[in-house]
Amino acid sequence: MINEERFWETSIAEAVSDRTPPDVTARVFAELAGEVQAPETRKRPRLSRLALELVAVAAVVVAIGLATGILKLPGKDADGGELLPPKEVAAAPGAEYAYKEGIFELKSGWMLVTTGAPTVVCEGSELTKVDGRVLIHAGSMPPGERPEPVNNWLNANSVETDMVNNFKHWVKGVGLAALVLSGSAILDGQEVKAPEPEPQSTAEWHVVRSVMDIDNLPAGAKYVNADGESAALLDFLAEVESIEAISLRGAIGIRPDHLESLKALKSLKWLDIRGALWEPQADDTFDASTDLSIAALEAMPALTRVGADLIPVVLGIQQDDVPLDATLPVLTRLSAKGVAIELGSWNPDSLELLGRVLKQLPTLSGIEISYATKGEMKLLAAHENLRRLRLTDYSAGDIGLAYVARNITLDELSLHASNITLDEIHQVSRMSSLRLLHLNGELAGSPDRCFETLAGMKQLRELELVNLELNEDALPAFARFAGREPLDRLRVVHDVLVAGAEGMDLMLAQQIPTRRLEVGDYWPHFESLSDLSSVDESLRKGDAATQLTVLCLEDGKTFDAGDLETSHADLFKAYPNLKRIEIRRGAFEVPVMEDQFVRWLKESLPDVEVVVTP
Amino acid sequence: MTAGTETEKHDLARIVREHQRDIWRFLMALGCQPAEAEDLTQETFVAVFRGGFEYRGPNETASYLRKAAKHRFISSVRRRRRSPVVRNLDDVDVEWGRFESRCDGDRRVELLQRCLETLGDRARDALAMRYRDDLSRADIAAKLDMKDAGVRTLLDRARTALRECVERKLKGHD
Repeated sequence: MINEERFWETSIAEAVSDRTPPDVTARVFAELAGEVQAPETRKRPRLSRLALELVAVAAVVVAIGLATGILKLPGKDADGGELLPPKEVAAAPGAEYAYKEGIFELKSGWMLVTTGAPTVVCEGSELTKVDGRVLIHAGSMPPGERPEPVNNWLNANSVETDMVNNFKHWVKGVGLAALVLSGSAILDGQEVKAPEPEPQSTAEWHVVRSVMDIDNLPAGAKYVNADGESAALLDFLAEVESIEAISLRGAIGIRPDHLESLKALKSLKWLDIRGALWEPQADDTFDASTDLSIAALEAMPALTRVGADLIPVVLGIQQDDVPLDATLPVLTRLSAKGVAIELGSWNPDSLELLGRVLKQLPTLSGIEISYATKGEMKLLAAHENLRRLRLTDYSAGDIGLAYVARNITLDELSLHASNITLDEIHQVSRMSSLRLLHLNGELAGSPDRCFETLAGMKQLRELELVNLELNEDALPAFARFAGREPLDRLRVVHDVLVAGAEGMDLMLAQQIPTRRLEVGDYWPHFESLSDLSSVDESLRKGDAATQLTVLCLEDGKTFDAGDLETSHADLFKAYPNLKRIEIRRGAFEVPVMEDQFVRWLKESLPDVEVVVTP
Repeated sequence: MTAGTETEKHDLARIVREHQRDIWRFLMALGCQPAEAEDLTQETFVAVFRGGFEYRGPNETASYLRKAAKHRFISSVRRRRRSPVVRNLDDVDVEWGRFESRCDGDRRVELLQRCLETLGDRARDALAMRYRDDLSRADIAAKLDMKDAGVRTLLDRARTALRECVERKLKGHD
């Protein structure tokens, strides 16, 4: 047994210290009875890490960034115009332009224009009233082949090259071609809109939990999710040549040799190992430079997007003993090559440190920050390529969010805090390109006004509400959602440990029109058909709501599948518009039970697509 | 099974009392501090009971509870960005089950306390400083006027002696 030594140490510690296991019986039953526990006190943990000599590396990276056009320096343009244009307009490397008297003139090359941008003119064309994101190319339609710096720039701005290459989505004006990535704009007096989104197809993501799952992957499988599973699965995934993306977030026991094996995947574009638990070769000879090496990523030619931790969690090693430079040098070099970087949860020790990391990673497109301060938010808001921001237990308040709202165009924002205030929601509503909003925590003070504000956010396509503490008084505010276009996706869930809110979740879900609904927390949530009547009504409202996702979070599985079959049969049949049922797998469950349930669903509802996703 | 009727509550309370010591010790072995182990033990039972628990005998229940506890621990590790002290997290619950099957935790601790009395003062002091007072090896070395490497050897030998002593007693040789 690998861990036996540790087990003995624990027993010896108990014998030596006279510590005895506590009796939690009363606490368990108090919790089950719904008694309110004292709120958890949150303190910003002190981190004491060695300061790093990053300045020299940062300087090199900035130089590379400038050379590739990923970074911009303020200054005058060639025509002696004003200083660089506002943040709503971003020019690609090599583009020629002028910015005078509030009008932007593109002379050649590429440009990304976002909500609130000034008028853009180009050879007789005029682009105005941009509400969303529009990619433009001076003159005619863009060529299929692009210089590498332009591809890197597109990638850093989260523009899918497949979409750029699809010429049927481009609109030709008098003097420029435009691709509306989201929202709408006026081109030469005509409204142009983003193409209708393809139906969301999470089925393309194949969940694997065993080698058997890998063996059974369909031919040509591209996207694989093994979140929370053993990292050793990578050795077998490396045999599936068609794979383009692997999500292995929170994987257990990852090692450099697992990443080495992935070099065989010549088409691998996206790898996400954020939150993975690393396994050193031996805890008494731990060497971060070898035990945590991600150098193999540099040998993956197709890689365009990487999710990783700056300071990985290492099994058997104190967190303070893991240096910051364990993954940063490789991420720095990947960023310099234009690979989009997303960082997992990080609590920067200082403003200076955060500033250095942001400089070194110019293509940083996503980050999760815990305990973010106003100063840190200001720095983040100056990082123009940032598109996805997750904040946990932040102290930055509405001021911090205001920096972000004014300076960068976020696509996704996650706020996880004990209290989320109306002031903060107000700033969120000003993020004009925000497509996905995730709220986890209590809406403090005026939840009804918070939801009124959220309902007015036309730009929002996906809304996730987790563990919201609401009562029926807040429901009238949801009427504001009734008039708006349906969301693409709505998730209303509670963690299994937060009791007593199931009914409110369902009432909420009923109020907000959506094309896809994700509800649930654990299976007993749906103990009878009457529990689901509100969801049933929501799905009956129109053609829009055709998808139901049943989420299984945390530990919410039972030993017995019997209840599922009897209580869900008529339920699913009751949805006339239902085309798809998605069963979300929890992190902890009994797969056999799930397989039986899924098989039963498929047999009972032959016309409905039934898929299992992470 | 849910905590609906008095009988069901009684049954669940019995399950908590039967298994909570094992779950707390298992969480301590994973690297929890005592207070965190207590919180996660509570969370484990709450989550499992809310999830529609069905009793299937002591061994299967223990195994299920350990899996649930491990999952809660991993969530906590990710949330708090703190490293677990075990190296093989994949199978640690199974390993712990095997470890416990050789000797119940209460009995093992009782035997260890008896075996501690057979150690010399210096070894006992070193163990107390390490595991009761949570001192580093360097601090222990300073207090015992020893070199760092000497403390390491002393602790290694003391642990081995205790382990052998317990195993001898379990086999009835002492």
